[in-house]
Amino acid sequence: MENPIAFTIVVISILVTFFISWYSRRWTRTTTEFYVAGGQIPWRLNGLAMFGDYCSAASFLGIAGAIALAGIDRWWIALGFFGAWIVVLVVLAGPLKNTGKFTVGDVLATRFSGPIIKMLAMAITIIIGTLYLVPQIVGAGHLFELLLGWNYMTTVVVVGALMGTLVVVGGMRGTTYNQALQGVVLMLAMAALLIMSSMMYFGSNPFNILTASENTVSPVVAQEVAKGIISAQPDIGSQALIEAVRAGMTDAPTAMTPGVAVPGMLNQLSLVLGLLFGVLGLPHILIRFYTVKDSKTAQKSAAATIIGLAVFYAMVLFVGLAAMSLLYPDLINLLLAGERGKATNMTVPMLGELLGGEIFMGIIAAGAMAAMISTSVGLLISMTTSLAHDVYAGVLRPTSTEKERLFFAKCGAAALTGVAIVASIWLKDQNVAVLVGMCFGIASSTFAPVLVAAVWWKRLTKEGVIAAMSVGLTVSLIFTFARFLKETTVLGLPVLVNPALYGVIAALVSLIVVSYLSKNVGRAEEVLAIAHK
Amino acid sequence: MKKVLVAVDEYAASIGAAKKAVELAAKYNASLIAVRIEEESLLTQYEKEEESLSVTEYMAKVSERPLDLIAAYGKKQNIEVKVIKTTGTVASSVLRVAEEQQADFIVVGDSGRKGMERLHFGSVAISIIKSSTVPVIVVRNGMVDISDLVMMAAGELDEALPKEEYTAPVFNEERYNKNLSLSAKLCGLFIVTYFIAAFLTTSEFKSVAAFQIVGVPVAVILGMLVFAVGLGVTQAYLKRS
Repeated sequence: MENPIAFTIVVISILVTFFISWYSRRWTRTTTEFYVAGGQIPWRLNGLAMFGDYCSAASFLGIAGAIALAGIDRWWIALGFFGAWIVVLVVLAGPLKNTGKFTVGDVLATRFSGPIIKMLAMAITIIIGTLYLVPQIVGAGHLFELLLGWNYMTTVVVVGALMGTLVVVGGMRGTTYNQALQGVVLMLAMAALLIMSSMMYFGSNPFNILTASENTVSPVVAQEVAKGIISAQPDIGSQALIEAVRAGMTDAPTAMTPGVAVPGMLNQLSLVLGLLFGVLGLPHILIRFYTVKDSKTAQKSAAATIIGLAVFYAMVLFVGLAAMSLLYPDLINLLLAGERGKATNMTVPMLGELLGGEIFMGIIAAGAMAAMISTSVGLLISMTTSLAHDVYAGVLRPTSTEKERLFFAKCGAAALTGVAIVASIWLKDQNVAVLVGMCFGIASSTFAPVLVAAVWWKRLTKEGVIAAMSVGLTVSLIFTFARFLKETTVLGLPVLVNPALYGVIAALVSLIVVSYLSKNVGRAEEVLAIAHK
Repeated sequence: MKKVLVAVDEYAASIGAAKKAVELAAKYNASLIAVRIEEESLLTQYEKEEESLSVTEYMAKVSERPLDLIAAYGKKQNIEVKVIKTTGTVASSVLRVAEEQQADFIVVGDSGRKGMERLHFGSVAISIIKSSTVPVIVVRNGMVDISDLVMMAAGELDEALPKEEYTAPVFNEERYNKNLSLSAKLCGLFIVTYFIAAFLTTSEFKSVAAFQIVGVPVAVILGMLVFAVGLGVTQAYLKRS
């Protein structure tokens, strides 16, 4: 074991999480009933819980790591994650709170009946859910690799299996207390990274981090030149290496120059579009709006969350750039050794170790681990519930017993975890925030348009929904996998960093054209009446 | 005089509980408060199917107007029944009414759901037990024979009472337009800022992004602007919605 103290902290934190989860578990009835939590949870706590819910591994580990490797382009992932929340609040939160529905399937089923939409929504939920599971397992895999020195393959299988088991044996559920605690840990850890790095290395002024970055060539750009320098002077310090690389590459883009990770305007447009509308298609986040007793408290919580996100994502830029400066040789060595996944996803724990030793690294790892486990378990629970009820009881065998449904759901959870583990091995070198961004891209091409239309547009028809979801899904999946397979063009179109640009346009066009050509608007009056009462 | 409160919905479990509550009230010379909570949400097709498992052909007449049925049954047993209908979330509304009416204890039915079902639906009974300040009696589904109530619903109740009617919500165009205009304006403002900032932070405009204002590159200032506009839009929306 390489880091016994940090590992112990992680294990203790997981046990604490379980304890809180067990202790505060309170079953509530149906989607609107959260009285027990609602009566007791002040808005600050709820705001923190929403923040903790939203900030998963992608926000905490992924963005800072991606910035540390490629510079300011990657900050847009954070800006997109933030912007998505604003769009959700302004466009969807009100209508959804009024209808009492906050998953895509529920909203669509309220307006349109019939099995096709239900099955399609289910299939998309499972595809996005499984893909969303991948970055959690990749992150956790790298984390345990870093802490224990196991190889990645073993770690991913063990961690993935552990997460799957938690669900199969009926493990934990995210609770408000857990999520709030997680939110506090992530926020404080990020603040500590910023404050400590500024004080220890940047003259107590965070803006000096920006100044330093203007002269730093991003590690992904610098690796070839740096290779020569490092082989001549293996023990070269961070600052010396940055200067030597800069001297050798005077015209190269620096950490503050856009275009390194996201080349050109089309790529940028596709990325920011996918991020901005993706959360609309992942509205499980909105569930927390229902944990408070009245709308005023809900609104205060939302405002608190948004302020928290703004502060957090602003800090992420500085921490990412500070990590680039301080860990420059380490990052480049990892890149040269072909360990891109570790370099990009483990920057934050590595920076923690540099600044505060193994204990600080352990706290960071524990926060990240909690985020990854709670996200994974939440995803698996929603997917398996959906499998048991919608697929098995709803379509395959309506006459099945409770026991048979449960068995089917557990087999499903095991199978999906298996798929996610295999995908995690395949996508080892991807940044977790980039992977989450891909899921956002798919969500924005499928659920986002139909969900907004379902509560805002009377003319939306059942056929329009089916067309938009199937076309959006097909297009976004093609471009997602083309990206993973490193294709450069598909059908003459350039493959972009995110599938959203093609997916969203295809889905929107299908939605509008097919809706105008067909007539079945479902319970349009009733749904819109309730959504806008 | 003691007061017994019972929560009633259209399903067998609560009807069983209500029958038990009537009997208890009769035995202890108490009055009964029957409360029905209308959940303020549309059920999905799936939830309807799932919940309707308990609303069988057999129960159909009972489910049409459970409160009237309990009132009529109470009358038969010579107890005073007060009927209350309210809307909100179920467990919290039951507790609220119990407090307002100063009930001495609460009777609720329990669906007896287990496993995944329990996980999916949760339990009103457990929520009430956990937060109630008065004793709670839980009657499990199937514990009480309700066949006499079913007979009653099918027979005499039909002529005696008017039907409880479901009124579909009415689409309020003015309200819709107001919401649309607010959301479109604020969302539009944010989206425009966001995309302009994103455009100026591309390789095509890298000289713009690198330009410095008081030592801070425009790329960073634009990002901060996105945060600021986002926060402003949030405040404006919360104030006006």
